[in-house]
Amino acid sequence: MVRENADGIEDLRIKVKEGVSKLRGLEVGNELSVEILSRLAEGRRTASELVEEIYQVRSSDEGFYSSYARVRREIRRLESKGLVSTNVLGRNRPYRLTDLAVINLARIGGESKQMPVLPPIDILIYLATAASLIPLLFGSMGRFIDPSEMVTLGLFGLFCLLLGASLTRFFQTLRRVF
Amino acid sequence: MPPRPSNLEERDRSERLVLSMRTKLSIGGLCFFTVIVLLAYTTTPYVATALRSLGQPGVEGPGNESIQEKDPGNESIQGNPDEEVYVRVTGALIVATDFGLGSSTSRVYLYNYADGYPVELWSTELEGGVMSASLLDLDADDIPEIVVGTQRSRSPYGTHGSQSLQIFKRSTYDYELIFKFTVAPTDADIARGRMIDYYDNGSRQLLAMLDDNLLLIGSKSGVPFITEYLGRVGSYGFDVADVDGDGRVDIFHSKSATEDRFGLIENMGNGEYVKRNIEGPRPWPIDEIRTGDVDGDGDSEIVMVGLGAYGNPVMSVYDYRNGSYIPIWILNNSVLESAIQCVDLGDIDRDGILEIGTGSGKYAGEGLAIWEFNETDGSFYPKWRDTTLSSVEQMLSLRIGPVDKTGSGRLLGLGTGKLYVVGYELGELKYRGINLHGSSMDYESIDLWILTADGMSRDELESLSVSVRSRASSLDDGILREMLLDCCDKTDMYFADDQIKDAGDLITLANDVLILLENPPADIDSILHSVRDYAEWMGEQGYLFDMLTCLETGYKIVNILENVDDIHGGVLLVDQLYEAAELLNQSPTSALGIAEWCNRSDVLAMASRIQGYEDDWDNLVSGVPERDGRILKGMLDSAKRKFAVRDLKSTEAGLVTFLDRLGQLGVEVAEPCLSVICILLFMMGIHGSKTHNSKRDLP
Repeated sequence: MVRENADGIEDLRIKVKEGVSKLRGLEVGNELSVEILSRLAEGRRTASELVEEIYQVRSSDEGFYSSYARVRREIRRLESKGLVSTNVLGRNRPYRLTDLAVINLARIGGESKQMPVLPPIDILIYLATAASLIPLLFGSMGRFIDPSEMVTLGLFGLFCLLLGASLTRFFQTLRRVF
Repeated sequence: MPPRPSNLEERDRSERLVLSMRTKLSIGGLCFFTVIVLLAYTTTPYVATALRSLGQPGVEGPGNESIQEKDPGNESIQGNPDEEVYVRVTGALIVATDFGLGSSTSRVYLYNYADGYPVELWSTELEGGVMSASLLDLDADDIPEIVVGTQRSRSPYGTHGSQSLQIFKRSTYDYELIFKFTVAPTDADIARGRMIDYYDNGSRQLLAMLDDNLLLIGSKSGVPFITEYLGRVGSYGFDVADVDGDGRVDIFHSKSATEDRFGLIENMGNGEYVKRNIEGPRPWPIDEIRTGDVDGDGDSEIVMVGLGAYGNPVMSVYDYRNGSYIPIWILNNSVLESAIQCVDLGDIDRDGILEIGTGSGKYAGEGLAIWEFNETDGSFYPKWRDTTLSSVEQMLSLRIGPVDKTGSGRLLGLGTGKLYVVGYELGELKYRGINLHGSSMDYESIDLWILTADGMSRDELESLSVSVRSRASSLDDGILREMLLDCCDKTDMYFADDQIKDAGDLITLANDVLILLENPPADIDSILHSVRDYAEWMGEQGYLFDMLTCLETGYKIVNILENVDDIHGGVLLVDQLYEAAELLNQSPTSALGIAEWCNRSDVLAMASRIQGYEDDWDNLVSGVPERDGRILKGMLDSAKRKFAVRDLKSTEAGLVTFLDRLGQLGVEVAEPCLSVICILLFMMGIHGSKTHNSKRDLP
């Protein structure tokens, strides 16, 4: 029984360690970040609402602005990591979790790794798009061993294919943090 | 609300500098894709060129005509008896430029000379004055590019603006600028370009002069680029040829105006060149240099012409003998009392030896001349000369080459608003002037590109000769029958002497006549009707003068057609009249061009009538109400414009014919196909990426 309990504690410890490690990968470094993310997971909140919920202070209270600044700074940091976002337009702009944050928070307890803002495969596609343009550029400047017309057109076709892929990946990445 | 502490405001400002991820991504992505799209846009001409090359295996027109390069100058079109291949000349492209004095712009014109007179195909306006123009095939696709040298800020007293070398390449419907290289303001002159196999590796590059420097320009996939600077030389002339007989092509060029010699860049092989100076009597300053076999000894000579100031000659001929370049003939200005400003070499009399064609500036006294080698004393004498032109025309550029179906060389000189064509007509050297774009045009440079049909072997020519003889024998007795049989006899003599070109030119021309006789043009009545229809149409439009011209010319053509059997030596005339009838059905204004060909004096009479109306204008409109006077003036101006520009409608028709002949069908189909393929690939990229990403995003 004791043995079973000890195994259970060990499993829990490993899971907690992995969870913390993933949280670090998510760059959620402090308690306030976790608090903000957990509040936003329940629904959209303005910065004032978050301050009121987290610190239990009202805007008329004396310590409101110091708490507000702290929350606002943390939100800025989370925004720069692509985890929190708000509307581009409008007067009252409540914050919400981005798709990237939802995906990565959901993966904390699972087997999958955290998703970076720019996955390696995306970077590879962008680089391939730029690389496929290089021979065409050199060819157009006449500083390239003259390829056959089929090779030129093939390269151009490949460039179109990669440009389409990279544009799509870019808009999907943008959508994840928007 | 309590006031906010100032330190919080500062902190707020610093926080604003922390950009959200979406902002960072948006800015980064915008920059990345903008750069990518801009770079991709710069490659589109290159990709389009590749597409065109792919869709253009050979430019073929109706019948068996195709476009092939032939240097109209010192390379004879004479078929090689060993290979026994005859290539027939079908016409020529002519590029002519306007210097544009008194204007900030000038123009480049491209004409087709296939029908015995130039029909404008294309023109463009350029900043500054165009000082030289060449038709050269840089990318070896058998279609010439137009190479022009321009200079800004020029005046009659000198040229001091920046110089540009510009290259135009033919696209589907136009000529596009594909290369432009500009240098700082200079007073140097720009000479016509030449093609040279500079590295002796079988590929030819463009040798061009800009700001007294020689540039070597290569081409990759149709895109020109400067490969080498060959150093400083003098203004004006240069040419390339193997004069010393070592099998390698050397470059001969003028030196700066202060140097009393001319230069040689000698090809030592393997792309190595050595600069040398050649001393000796030569024009000062040199205006133009040409090389070719002018004395019939089988190797090339150097011919230089120029101002001949301070007692220097106006023309010198050098040959390479006993290991050095020596002058074999000089022409002092004391003989001519004039300068020579342009020169070209070509075989005009079909004797296998090149003649020297020269032209001089206005009031310089010399006009146009053709010089031939005198074997008895080794000198050159003027075989033909017309000094009357010198008082009215400024001959700054001329070219010699076979430009029509006769295959005979003709000298083409550019005057003020006129193209002068010198050649043999009924056994005599004669010139005729053709108005191009009005007398105000100030032409500066001309170049030719010879159009040829597919080659014919000797066997094919001989069988054609047999066929012509057989078909001619079946004609009714008459002058045409005798003439054609005489042509067959002469052709047999040419074959016996291995003169394949002469035989080919004669028998193909005779065959053309027979084809016309076997397929006579539309009946005369229908042509007459069409003339009257057009005259009526002109009358409805209010063009009284054009109506008159149309009727006069049309009746003349019909009259000649009715009496075609009575025309002696009418081999060419029949051909021309047939085309005249065709053209007349399309455009009444082109009848003027036909009239000029048929009988120049009529056109000149028309011009003098217009001039007469203008000179006597005040008397003509005296007593006429002012409003009617203005209308009459408008009508006369309209007639003048049509007379000067002439073939507006047939120019358009010529352009369509030209494009048809150049066979762009492949490109027209391939271009939309490529666009569709690219869009499909683009969509495939989007679809593939979406599918992949949607699977990957699942937690």
